This record gives sequence, C-alpha cells and structure tokens, in this order.
Amino acid sequence: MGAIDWGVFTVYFAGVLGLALYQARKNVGVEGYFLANRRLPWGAIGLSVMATQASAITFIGTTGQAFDSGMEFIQVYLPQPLVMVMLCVVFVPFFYKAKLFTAYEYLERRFDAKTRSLTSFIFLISRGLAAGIVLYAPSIVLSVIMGWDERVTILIMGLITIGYTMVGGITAVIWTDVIQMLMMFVGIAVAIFVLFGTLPPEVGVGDVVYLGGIQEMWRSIDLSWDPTNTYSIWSGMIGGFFLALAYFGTDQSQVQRYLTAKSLKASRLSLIFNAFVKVPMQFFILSIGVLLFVFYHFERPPLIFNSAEVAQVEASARAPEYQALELEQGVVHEARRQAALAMLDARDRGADPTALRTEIGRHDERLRELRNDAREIITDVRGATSNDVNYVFPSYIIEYVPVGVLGLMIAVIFAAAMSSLDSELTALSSATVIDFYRRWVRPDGTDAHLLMVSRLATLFWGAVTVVVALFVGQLGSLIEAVNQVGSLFYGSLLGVFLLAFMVKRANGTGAFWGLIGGMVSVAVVSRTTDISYLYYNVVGVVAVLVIGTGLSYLSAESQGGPTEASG
Amino acid sequence: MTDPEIEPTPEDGSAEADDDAEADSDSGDDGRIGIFPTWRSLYVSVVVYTVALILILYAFTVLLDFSG
Repeated sequence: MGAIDWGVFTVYFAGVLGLALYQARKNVGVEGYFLANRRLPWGAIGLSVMATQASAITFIGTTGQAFDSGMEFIQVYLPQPLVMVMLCVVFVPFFYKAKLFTAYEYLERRFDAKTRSLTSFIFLISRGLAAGIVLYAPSIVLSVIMGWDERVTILIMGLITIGYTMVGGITAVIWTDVIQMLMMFVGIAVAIFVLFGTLPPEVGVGDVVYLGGIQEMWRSIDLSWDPTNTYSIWSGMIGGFFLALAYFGTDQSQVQRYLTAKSLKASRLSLIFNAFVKVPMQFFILSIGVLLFVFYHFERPPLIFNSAEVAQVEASARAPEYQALELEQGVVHEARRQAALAMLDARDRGADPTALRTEIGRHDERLRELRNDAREIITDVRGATSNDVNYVFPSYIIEYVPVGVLGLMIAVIFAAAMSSLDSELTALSSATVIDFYRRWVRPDGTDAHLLMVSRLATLFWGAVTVVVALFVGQLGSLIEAVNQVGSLFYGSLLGVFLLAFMVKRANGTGAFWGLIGGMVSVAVVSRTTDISYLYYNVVGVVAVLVIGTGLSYLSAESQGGPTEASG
Repeated sequence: MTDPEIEPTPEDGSAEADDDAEADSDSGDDGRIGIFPTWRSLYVSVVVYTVALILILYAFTVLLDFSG
C-alpha cells in the first residue's frame, strides 16, 4: 500500500470514529443506547439493515464462491423480497407496537419467562459464534496485505469496533452503517469498473459474457429437485425463505434495527427498501467473482491465492513438488489463454468454436487438478488448509488495482466488516442486559446503572467475538459457515415465533419443549442426511410447530381446560 | 420476579388480532406510501418484482449458457 492508499484508509477510519463519537452524544439512557429513543428515519434503518447483513464475508466469501462455481448462490437471496413483505404484515406490527427492547421479550408476554430466556440464550450463542466469523474475514485481507499474523489483525479490528460501539450505542452504529453501506455501493461499482479496465484491450464486455458462459458461470437458476443439491431454486426459495425470515424476524441484530424507527410506517419502509435493493446488489457482487474468473484467463493467477500458505510450503521439504506444479500451471494457463483468444476470434469470424471450447474445458480441468494437488501439499505441510476461494478477491485487489483504489477497496472491506460486527455487538449486549440482567438479576436497576452494564456487556461480547475469530480459520467457505451456524438454530427460533403468531392456543409448555424438539430434530437431520443445510430451517420450523401445538393441546387437556395465552 | 417494563399481554396473544387495523391506520398521513396508494398495492408490487427477478435470472441462465 502506498501513501495515497494509507491516506484513503485513514480518512475512512477517522470519519467513522468521528461520526460515532458525534452520534454518541445523542444517547439518553438505556433506551437511547439500545433503541436510539425510537426516533430514526427509515432510510438510515434500511441501509443499516442491509449493512448488517452484508459483512466483509459478502465481499470476500461470495466473490470467491462465484469465482469457483458461478452465480448459483444468488438463489439463496431470491426469497428475501417476499420475506420482507411477510415481516411487514406479520412480525413488525406486533414487535413495534409492544415497545420491545428485544424480540425475545415478546415471547415472555405471549408464553412465559423460560421460553424467553431459552430463545435469547440460543441467540447469544449462535450470534456470538457468527460474530467471530464476521471478524475473522477481514483479518484475511489485512494479513495478506501487511504480511501480519491473522491474530494481530483480528485484535486490531476487534478493538476499534468494540471501542466505538461501546461508546456510541445503536445511534452511532446505525449512522456509521449508513456511511459504510454507501461506501460498499461505491466499492462494488469501482470493483466492476476496475476489473473491466484490467482486461486485455481486445477483450470486450461481450467476450467476458461469452467466456463465462462457456463454463456455465452465469447459471443463476438451477431447477434440479435433488434435495442434496446445496443451491437450487427450491432450496433457495424454500430453505432460503425460512432462513431469511428467521434472520430478519427473530435475530436481535436485525429486529433491533427496525425497533429504532420513529413510526411503524418507517419500520416497514426500511424493510421494503431492502426488498427492492438486496437482490440486485448481491447479483453485482457475485458478478465480480465471475469477472475474476474470466480475468484470470488472461492473467496468470497464483496456483494458491493465500500467499501465507505458499510461503510456508516454499520453506518446507516439499517446495520442489510445489514448484513443479507451479511450472505446469504456467504452461496450462498459457495454453488456455491462447485457446480463449482463438475462440473469441473464431466466434467473431463465424467459425465453429466447438473444438476450442473443448480444449478450454480440458485446460480448466487440469488447472483444477493442479490446484487440488497443491492444496494436498499445503495440508501435508501445515496440517490443515484454509479455503482458498476466500483469498481470490483480496489477491486481485492487491496485485492489480491502481493506487488510491486499493486503499478504497480495503476501506470498503473494513466498512463491511465493521457495519456487521458493531450491529451484532449491540444486539448481543441488548439481549444480555434486557433478557437476563434486568430480567433476573437487577429488575430495579437505575437507568444509569443499566447503561453502565450495557457498555460492559458490549465489551464482554467483543472479547468473546475476538476469541472465536482466533480459532475459526479452519472452517470452510466463510459465507457458508455463517449460514450453516445460523441454520442449526434459526429454524427452531422462527418456529417458536410462528407458533406465537399463528396458534392461538399455544402455551409456554408447548413453546419451550417445541423449541427443544425442533433443535434436536435439526441436529438429527443434519447428522443423518445429506440434504442442503438450507432445508434445516424448514425442518426446525415444522418440528416446533408440530411438537409445540401438540404439547400445548395435551397440557391444556391435562389441566382440564383450553389454553389461554399467559400474561 | 417480574420485569418492570413488561406490560399486560393482549388477551388473545396473537399477531393477527389488530394487524389489519394497524396496517390501515399506518397507510401514511396522506393515505399513500410514495407512489403506492395502499400497503397492499406495495406488497403486491414486491411479489411481482420477485417473480420478475426469477424469470430474468432464468432467461440469463438459458441465454448465457455457451457450454455447448
């Protein structure tokens, strides 16, 4: 990074910290710290909802995933507009009118205290783990750029975010999210523009589309009914629907956002904004991955994108084997480059490109084999290997983007990470303080006392997040890891809320044991079947509704009368 | 031990009880939501938008498949 890049980077950090401290002045008591005194406009909340979901993983993991397997991941996002409508119609009115601090408070009003405590506890565990993954992702970028150990970058990132979140509360978090989300929009546009700019002059937009299409990289809809297929239109629309409904409707890190709105209308509009913008944004982010795939037809990519792992291998006894693979990769890449250019030429002349297309496919296959062989060597040397697709985009921006843009792109990745992490810390803090500390320990605590405890809770969860991030490095693709953690719990959490909304006779006994039954069902299904993890959410919802409803009726009969909602 | 902030529960405890009324009253101070006359029309437009997205992406999948 040059001086200009450092300048851009510094301006970003100074701006975010300055804005956070400025907004921190507006916090008044616990309601100000957690809910901004319920006075924020829908535009800011809408951008914050989007920024909270779009973490650095979105930039690093999703682009890497598209580089590796194309656009199919978009199917997970397709049901989100419908989810927003369902939230506006069913969830938001009840949450907003009840003047809640956390989503789980509602469950005590509807069922009982133990159901509230259990759901909040599940949120704390699952979100605490996910926050660690969110923090880990940008540390990859910094470690590659600076040559630092990932642990150092995790500590720096974590401490800065914990600091301004502790001081500024939700007001600072949402307004910094606005800036960070706008930076992400700029970053996406700049990345696409720069990618086209770094292609050979003779390669145009049509050629990029054509080369991507040869490997089916633009395939966005997969109609396959196979339930073991991770990404199909069915797993996306069914499993993705329940995953998104659970995330936006029961995860405190999102619910807390729309509880800060100045009116119910503002809450709804913030979600409708997401309904229209989210899928196109995700499309463009995935397109960056496909563009990278095409770009590396003309520029030789590293055999392994994680330079830290390469350095370890080259210092080991297996360095000669790795270098032999690199040599062959160079030869195969050059052959593919020539074939790609020849095929574009043949297409322009109207000649039959079938033979060249077959040749490119053969080279692609050999390049994949070489990468797999290289990964085996790394695994042997290091004892483990990271998922290399997560390093594709960082590797590109370090190597190819011009001065100034590098600083901007790094700042964008930081913005994405911090805008998610700060939201998660305030959510974890609010659930801890409101659902546990104020509920069970100090129900008569003064506002000043609870505000102090809230800041300490933010600090505590920040520390937990940092510790988790330090050990998360060996998980698979980051974006999948986050969703998989969520899928183990989300379906069951959603099931409890749907039980509350839809089954009038459901009671606390049914909800509590239904939730446990749902989680057990998901655990059994995940261990005994190969179905896509997206379907776990459906399993959780159905299990909770069936078990919860059944137990509610049974317990009501055993008590000699129909069940009414508990106060 | 009770939470001091917890208020009495609505008697039926269900969301649908007053949702329709709330949605109507929340249609905005002027009865419109931007260019949409009602919340219902806004929601319908989101559903249509989703279907359109799926169809566009499917066309994308078919038309840009040059794998032969």
